[in-house]
Amino acid sequence: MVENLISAFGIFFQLSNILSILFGVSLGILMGSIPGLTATMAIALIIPLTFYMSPVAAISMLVGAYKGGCYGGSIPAILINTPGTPAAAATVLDGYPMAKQGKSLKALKMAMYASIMGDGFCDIALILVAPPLAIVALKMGPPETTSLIIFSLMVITMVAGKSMTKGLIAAATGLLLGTVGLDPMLSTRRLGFGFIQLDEGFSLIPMLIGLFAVSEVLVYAARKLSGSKKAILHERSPRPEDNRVNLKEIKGVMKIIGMASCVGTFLGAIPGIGPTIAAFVSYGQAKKMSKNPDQFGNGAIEGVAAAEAGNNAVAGANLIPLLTLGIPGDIGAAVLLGAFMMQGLHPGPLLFTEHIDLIYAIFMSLLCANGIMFLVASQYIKVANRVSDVPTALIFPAVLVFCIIGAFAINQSLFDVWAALAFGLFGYIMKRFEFPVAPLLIAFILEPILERAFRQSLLMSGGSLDIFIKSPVSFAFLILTVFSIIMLIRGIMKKKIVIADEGD
Amino acid sequence: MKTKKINKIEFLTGVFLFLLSIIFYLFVLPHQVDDPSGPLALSPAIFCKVITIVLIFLSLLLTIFNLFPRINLSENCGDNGSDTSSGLSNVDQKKVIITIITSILYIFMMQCLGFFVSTTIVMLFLMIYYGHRKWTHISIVLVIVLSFIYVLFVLGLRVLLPSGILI
Repeated sequence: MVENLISAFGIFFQLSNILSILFGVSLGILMGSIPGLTATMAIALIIPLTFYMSPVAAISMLVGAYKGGCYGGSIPAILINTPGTPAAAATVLDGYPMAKQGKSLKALKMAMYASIMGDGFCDIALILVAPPLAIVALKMGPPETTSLIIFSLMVITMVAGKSMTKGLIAAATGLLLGTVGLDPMLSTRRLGFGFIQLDEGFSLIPMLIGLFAVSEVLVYAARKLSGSKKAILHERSPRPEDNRVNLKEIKGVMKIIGMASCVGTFLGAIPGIGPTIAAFVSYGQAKKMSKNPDQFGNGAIEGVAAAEAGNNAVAGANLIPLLTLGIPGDIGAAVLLGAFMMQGLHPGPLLFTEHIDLIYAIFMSLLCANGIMFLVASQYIKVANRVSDVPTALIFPAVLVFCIIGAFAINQSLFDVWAALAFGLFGYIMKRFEFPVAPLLIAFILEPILERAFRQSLLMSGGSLDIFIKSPVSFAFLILTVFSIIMLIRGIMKKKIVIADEGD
Repeated sequence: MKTKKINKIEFLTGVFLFLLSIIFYLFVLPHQVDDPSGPLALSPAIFCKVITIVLIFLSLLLTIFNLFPRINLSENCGDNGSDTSSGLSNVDQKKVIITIITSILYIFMMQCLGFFVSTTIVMLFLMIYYGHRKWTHISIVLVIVLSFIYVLFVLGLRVLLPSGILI
């Protein structure tokens, strides 16, 4: 053990490795902060560069880009109400209201601290409990996965909007949109309306860009003040306390960051769940834990902390099934798996016995990436925060152009650009009629996993729904779902009674 | 005690969604999803049908909740109706329509004139249309955006941007 650690120190502590992480983190943050470009894209872009590097330098650079990309998504989420990556969708809920209150720098700093803490936590978890946790996560079968996703969707719906019914309608619409494309079991066409491009379903990135960014351009255009010379994105408060996070605030959110890190780490270890769902589950739990739940959605610093700690904790946790079992937790981890293989390394239990010094060196690079991310991000947010000083009449045409090129760049297809525009219009209509957009997107992302798990469960049980109750874990998730609904309805009823009494 | 009026917009939204879901279930699903015989779990239509039924039920709930506002399970229980209506009335629809038409023309122009020329035209038009008249600012933003796109997408990501008769 000690010999391996010493050997790992020797492998890791080289200038080339540190510079690789610095480059990876910087590129990841930059890419993540541009709507439409993701951490996955940053990794994919870097992979050709890593071909001639040593394995540790290559993996360090890629892991740095992955972590940076996960954090970078929060920057446009806070500043322009447009998540840079799907995982940052939950950050929008409180980050943008904070920015509108003039506290954009405060929100950006809290997002940075929470991301780094979440990252650090999951890295330590990865180092300490990787093998046992991955085994537990892998024991989740189709019925358990189905119930977990239903529970997660319910939590998301509860926290995302003002009306639960509208949130559920948005989620159901997202699930329906997710069914477009070839059937996952029989490969027959579904809801393609004659478009061959829809055989693989709607691409996520154009949908994300449309629902969050294009719709925001339309919302801006709809404002009667939008043409005024004074119209800027949002004012920045000159008060120092609105531009920094003090120790008291950090202490206040530590509990929430701890909870979100645990949620992110646990969900990240389950293949396929991903950072988006972790962010929303953490956000929902934080709302329940908070002394001021009414503040959530109106600029609660706890909301930003929970969402960011939750989604970043997934980045390291995704490596748990990847390193121990060779199963990538999400698309980013899948690209990392390819990079490992390019280096002649095959993630799985054998990697721990044959290349344990390399594994320790990778763990060191993960921890080092957090420190470097702090240095890069703390400087980058100062520049990014200046975006709010630019008049909106100049920003939104540029946002529209970035939306169009972001949608095009994924598959170099104009069909995706049309899809982004159509989803933009759809998102605008949803916002006008006060339907929350986030449940739709999350449901769309989770649909393939939910449908596969649901149908596999039915196959296993011969068409009977009993299977969801017979499994104790699945039953527990369903009970939690029902319990959450009851608690929500009780809360609303109480509120109504208070309001009615006040009205009398 | 306050009495709540029926929220027309919410009610009509519920009715519209309800009818849309019914039409989708009865006419779209049978034509757009193949449903070969076999075990229920293998049917490609099963999940679509379940979700559409859920959607029908939820749309019905939205309609009923707004027909009988006292049972509306909305957290925004203070003034649910007025929020939506005010949100819809204080809107410059002309600018929205112009922005949508400009975006559609932009996509067509990209293929005829090329990405960079059409981007310059569209950005210039929108910045002026949204009320900014300072040419120095407009020029700076244009140069920054176009150079950034060129460096990142063309040189970095090797994206083949649409090219027409110009660039």
